[in-house]
Amino acid sequence: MSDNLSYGLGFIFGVIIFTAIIMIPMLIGITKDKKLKRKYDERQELIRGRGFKYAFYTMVTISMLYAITLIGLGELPIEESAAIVIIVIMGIGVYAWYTILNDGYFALNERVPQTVITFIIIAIANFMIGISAWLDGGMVKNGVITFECLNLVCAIFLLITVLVILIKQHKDKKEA
Amino acid sequence: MKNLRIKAARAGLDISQAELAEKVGVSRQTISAIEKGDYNPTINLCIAICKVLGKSLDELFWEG
Repeated sequence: MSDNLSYGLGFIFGVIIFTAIIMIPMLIGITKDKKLKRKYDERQELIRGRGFKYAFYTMVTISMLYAITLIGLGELPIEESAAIVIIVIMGIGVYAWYTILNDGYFALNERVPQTVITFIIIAIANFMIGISAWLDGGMVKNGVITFECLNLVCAIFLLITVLVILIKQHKDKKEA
Repeated sequence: MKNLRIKAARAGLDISQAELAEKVGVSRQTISAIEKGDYNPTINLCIAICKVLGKSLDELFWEG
């Protein structure tokens, strides 16, 4: 078995095991526990629905543009796996920024500062991994942007999200 | 269209948007959006607001 195939299978099984052991029980726990369950009012639900719709359209549009460009040019200076994840991040971005700016992102029983601090910590961790990948030369190989750029992309996405939250909070304070 | 009657009823009871929001179980921004006329609440939320402010649906929401 080649090293690449072993790495690939290990990665896939790792994700499946992580999902089965940690994510699914955590999500079931959050859904069943009334204290942990996030509550949104009717206007927030409406905003979230619109957010999902815009995110969906964004992902479809960018995916189509990516596919057309790829067919037209034959190859692009970015790995396909990285491009696909970046498209997903863009969709999540549209959803998050739209709902934050329209008060639909945070639940009624959610603590905003705690979430912001978590975002900042995750952004810093991703930023450090991203910079390390950049310095090691793993981010661009033979003129092609690799999967290792995703940490930096995630860090930038989270920092923009924090900025949007802070701008919205400032706007809300002025209004109140 | 702005709903100044909710704002007036709220001011009459000396309660803030945040207090009214907490009592009816919505966010402060939702109450603000209703008062500004940016959001049309469902009948359930209208009734909840009427109960807290001690007014009828006609008094707060009927455009007579």
